[in-house]
Amino acid sequence: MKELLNEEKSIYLQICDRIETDILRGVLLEGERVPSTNELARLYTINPATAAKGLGILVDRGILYKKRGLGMFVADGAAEAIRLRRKQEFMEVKLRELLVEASSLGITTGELIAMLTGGDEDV
Amino acid sequence: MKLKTWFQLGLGLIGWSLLCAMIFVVVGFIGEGFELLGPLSCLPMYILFCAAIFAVLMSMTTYLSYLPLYLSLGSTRKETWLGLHLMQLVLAAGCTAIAALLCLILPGDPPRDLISLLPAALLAILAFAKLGSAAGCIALLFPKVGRALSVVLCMVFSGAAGFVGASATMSFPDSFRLSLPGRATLIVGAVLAALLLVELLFQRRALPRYEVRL
Amino acid sequence: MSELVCKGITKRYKDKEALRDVNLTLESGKIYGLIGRNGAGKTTLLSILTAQNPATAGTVTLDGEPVWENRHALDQLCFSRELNIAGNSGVAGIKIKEYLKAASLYYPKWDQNLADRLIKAFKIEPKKAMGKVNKGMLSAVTITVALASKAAFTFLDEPVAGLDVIAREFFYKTLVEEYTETGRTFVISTHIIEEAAAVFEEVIILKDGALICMENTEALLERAVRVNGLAADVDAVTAGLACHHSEQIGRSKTVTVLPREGETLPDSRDVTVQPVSLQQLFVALCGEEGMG
Repeated sequence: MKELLNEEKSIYLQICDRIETDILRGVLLEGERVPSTNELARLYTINPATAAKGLGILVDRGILYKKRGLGMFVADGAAEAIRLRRKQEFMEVKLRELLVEASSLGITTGELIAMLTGGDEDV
Repeated sequence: MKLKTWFQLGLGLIGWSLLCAMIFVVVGFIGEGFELLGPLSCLPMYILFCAAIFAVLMSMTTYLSYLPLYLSLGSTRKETWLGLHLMQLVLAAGCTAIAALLCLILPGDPPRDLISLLPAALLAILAFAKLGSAAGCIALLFPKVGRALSVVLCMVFSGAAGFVGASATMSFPDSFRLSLPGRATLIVGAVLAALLLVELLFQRRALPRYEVRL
Repeated sequence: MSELVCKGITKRYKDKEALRDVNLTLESGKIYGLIGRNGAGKTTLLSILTAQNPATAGTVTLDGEPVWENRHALDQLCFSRELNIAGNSGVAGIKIKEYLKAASLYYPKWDQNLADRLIKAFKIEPKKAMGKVNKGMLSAVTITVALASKAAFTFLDEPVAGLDVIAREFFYKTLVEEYTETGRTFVISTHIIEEAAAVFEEVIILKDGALICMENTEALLERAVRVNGLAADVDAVTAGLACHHSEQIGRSKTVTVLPREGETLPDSRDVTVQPVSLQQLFVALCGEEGMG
């Protein structure tokens, strides 16, 4: 699980991403306890407040839920929810960026469609 | 109030003084053809002398080393200056007490003669301690002068060490011996009071403004 | 909840002003990073906060009590100094062992087990005199005293200055472990920011003796950005905002922008907007013209 954090993105967002990816990959299963704020802080050598902020966002998204005194757990249907949210993000952010970049390079929609459906073996 | 470290430093100095005094005895023992009684009867005097040396050197070192050290570890200024007086007192009182005890149990004339001089010796050790303090204060305020001063003090004391070693066998005329204790106590007491005043002045004026640097 | 409050701290030496009207409040249970260039006044500030050196003006209080010459307050503070020992320093002849022993007597909550563990981990040689060991070992001693003191407010002055990157990471890991276990307050001064940024909950930035910023690290970095593009476009986008450290090469211009609370950078497709790291922000805020 230990990977290095980078400086390009807020640390708490990276913590969110890590945990979500672990849930998608089956590293963390639904109903299982996730590392606590302090465990995350020690694992990544970050401030516990930052780790708590990351976990808080996942609670807000309904990915995790709190059990008083026991810690944070992966909610039922978390993996599906993550997939949905990431899909939405892909459409709204990454695809849009792609389209903006394409238009600034003068690539037409037709060309794009051709690339996507052309059965390019490499992709 | 945290004075334990200072008390321990004082006890340590008593230990060093005893150790050095023993070395004097051993040297005397060898020097006088392996005759123990003579050098041994001088042991109390050696102890007092060593205590005086350590009082000077340690008091000076304290200002240069232990003062910044302890302040940097969260001591208050008041604790450091009270502690310093305590350390000097422990050393002087401890060594004088041990010397007194030895004077009572050791045979021979020199010990008995020394008893009447013990109050003066106690004051003398304290005076030497305050001399070291004064040198330390000066060294703290003017580092260059301080270094020169420490060299001078070391030279003076190595000379004095030789003198004490040699004087062990000297004998004084009776009239001198009888009038000495009273006069000595008075003079040494006066010197001590003057030096103490200098130190207190430093502690009151300069210590609050002293900057810790390691 | 304890609070260490410093009000209007000014420190003047004969020929210069080391600190100018510094006001700050340190709350218990946080890790603060104190950053600034060499000579910015970090050590002076820390020694005044812990009553080791007197201030020319201003007050420092712990829960309302002045800390100066106050045994009760000092029992809750530990300022582990950077040991920069010159050969002629009075402390040079003191053995590491003796220094640690004195520390154990002065800090009421001293943890000898932790001290022993750190001595071993850092390979400290306690029998050597402090003037005779390298900078790395002195940094390790600074760290050992700070962590083992268990003081509620612990200040470390340049604890990683002499450490290599592996020892630095070990230090921050140990620090976070200690912090998660105890919730002690730490204030760490450093000019090596890279690995430290993620550990600091708040940053305090000193520049030329003045406090120029004290804020939650994440919030600060969320506001700060680097804007690059055609000079005219960059100027248009950043107009009215606080800009630092602008660099221009030909028509291209890069500036670091730190919008005040509530201000935002207008959306523009003509310029590139990138996040900045704490180190980059520090350089932008404290760097001097002609040295960039």
